Amino acid sequence: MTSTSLHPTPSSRTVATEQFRAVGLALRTEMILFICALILFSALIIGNTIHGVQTHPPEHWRTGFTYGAPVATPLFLMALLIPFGVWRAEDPSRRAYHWSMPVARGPHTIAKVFAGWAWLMIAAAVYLLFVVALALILPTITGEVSRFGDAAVWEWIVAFTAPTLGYLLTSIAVIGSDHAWRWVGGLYIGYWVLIGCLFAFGMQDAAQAVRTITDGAYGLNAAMIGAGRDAASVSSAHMMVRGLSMSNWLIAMPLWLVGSGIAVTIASYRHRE
Amino acid sequence: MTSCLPTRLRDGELAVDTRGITKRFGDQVALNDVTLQVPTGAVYLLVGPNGAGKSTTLKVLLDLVRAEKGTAEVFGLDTRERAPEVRANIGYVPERPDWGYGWMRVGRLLEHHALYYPTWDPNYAARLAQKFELRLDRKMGVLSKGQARRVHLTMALAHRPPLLLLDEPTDGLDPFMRDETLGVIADHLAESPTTVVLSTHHVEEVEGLADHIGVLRNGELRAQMSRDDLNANLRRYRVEVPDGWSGVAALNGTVLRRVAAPREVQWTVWGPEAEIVQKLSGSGGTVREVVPLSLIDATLALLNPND
Repeated sequence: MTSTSLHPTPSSRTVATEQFRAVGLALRTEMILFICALILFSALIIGNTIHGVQTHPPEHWRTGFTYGAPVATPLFLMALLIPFGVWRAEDPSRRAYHWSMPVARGPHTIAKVFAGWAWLMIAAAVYLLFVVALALILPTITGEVSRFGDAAVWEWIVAFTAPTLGYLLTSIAVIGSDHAWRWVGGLYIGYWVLIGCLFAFGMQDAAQAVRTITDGAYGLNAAMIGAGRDAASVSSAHMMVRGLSMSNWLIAMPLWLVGSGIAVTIASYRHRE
Repeated sequence: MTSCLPTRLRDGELAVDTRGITKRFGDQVALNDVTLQVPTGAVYLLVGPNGAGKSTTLKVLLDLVRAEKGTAEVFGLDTRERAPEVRANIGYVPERPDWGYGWMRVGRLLEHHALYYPTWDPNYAARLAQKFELRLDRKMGVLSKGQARRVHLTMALAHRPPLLLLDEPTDGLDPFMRDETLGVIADHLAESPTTVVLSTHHVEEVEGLADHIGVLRNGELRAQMSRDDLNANLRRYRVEVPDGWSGVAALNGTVLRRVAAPREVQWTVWGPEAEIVQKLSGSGGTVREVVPLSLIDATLALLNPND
């Protein structure tokens, strides 16, 4: 052993708190743009509604604005981009500073992923607040009966699980690869090109089978907002898009979340040089 | 010729102790069976040409790079098994200037770094920032190489680590700031008990600091020794030789360099001075001068590829 008096490592709490603060700083511009976009979007809708009510008879002007699981789709799309901000200029070949800190690499990376997710959840909550505010304000202008209370509980939860899924999916590529954009874009384009080719060559069944990844009963859309197709009709050429399904969502969402969570963990613990 | 240059230090407590570390990057051997021994409290100068494996050796100690063979310990802690504890005790100045977060301001980066090191001394950090003339409001990404290097030095020194790994610490600095930096490092060593592993091409700058030297070439540790050993055993011999001199059969040491001129030959030899002088005189030559080498000349001799 050594006679040198050794220094301690930082506490997990200190690391987690600092990661939350640092990631918040990294995402500051994106967050400001997001809030500005929400304000602008809300102002446009309210202004347009006021104008509509003033220029049309009330019975001809209905916004029909309400909350439902599909309203979470923009959050999912935004969440796909957030990991690029969390790991700004820190692709694996430039991540040595992060790795050189006195914290185990895997947990340190997970802490940063978690910090980004926490900010994403705050953004989701802010988004929900805007949506709820609009759903409450607009009927007072049009005289409609507010229907946002019709949404089922699981549809409110979707506002948090959908962006979580999007965030984890992109995080896998951003943590694991120097070329995350290529992976994300390549997979997306490759997926649709593959389906297009299968259709073009008359392999409808194969194409439908591949499409289950996104549109199947337990596919990505089901995991995201409960949208999917009947499992029985997946291989049929006459599939019908069903309405939102809580039962599909209840199975697909945990499956996709656990799968992507495992992939993120593997990417985080992989020793890159 | 078989080298008899020393590659092991004598017994004593070691701050850094690697045993036979080997690392390849693809087909390229970056480190080959390197056994680095840095005594506690030493200022160990690691020299070698570009690509010799100096930076890789430092990265193995931080567990940024993992050796395929061999083990590495820092203060008795395995660098792989107990990497966070090892890193908590190291202040590292990397060779690359894009260290830290380019989007962060200098002041915020120092604050961020401080939170990871419970022993961070804020007063000392402020003093260093003043000495290095850091502009805390500037973003890291817009700093010049020299400015970034000064920030890295502040980050490395301010938590007063027991071990400093400095990879080209004065690279990119102007002569004034280079002098200032070496002064800061010397002051730091006087104030805080620290072991230093220093990799630099500017060997002449650390002549007064380094007390041990390790020579890496092509991923192999050719020699490591204390300055005392170096000063005692490495000499340049200037010998006047007669016409038709047939040469000396064998010197009792390792010839690192031989320069021949008309009627005069210079040898740079590692070995016992008295025996070498006796051999040279016995061969018919007249030993005119025996001089110890400066650190830079010694380094060049030890790196001599003809050895």
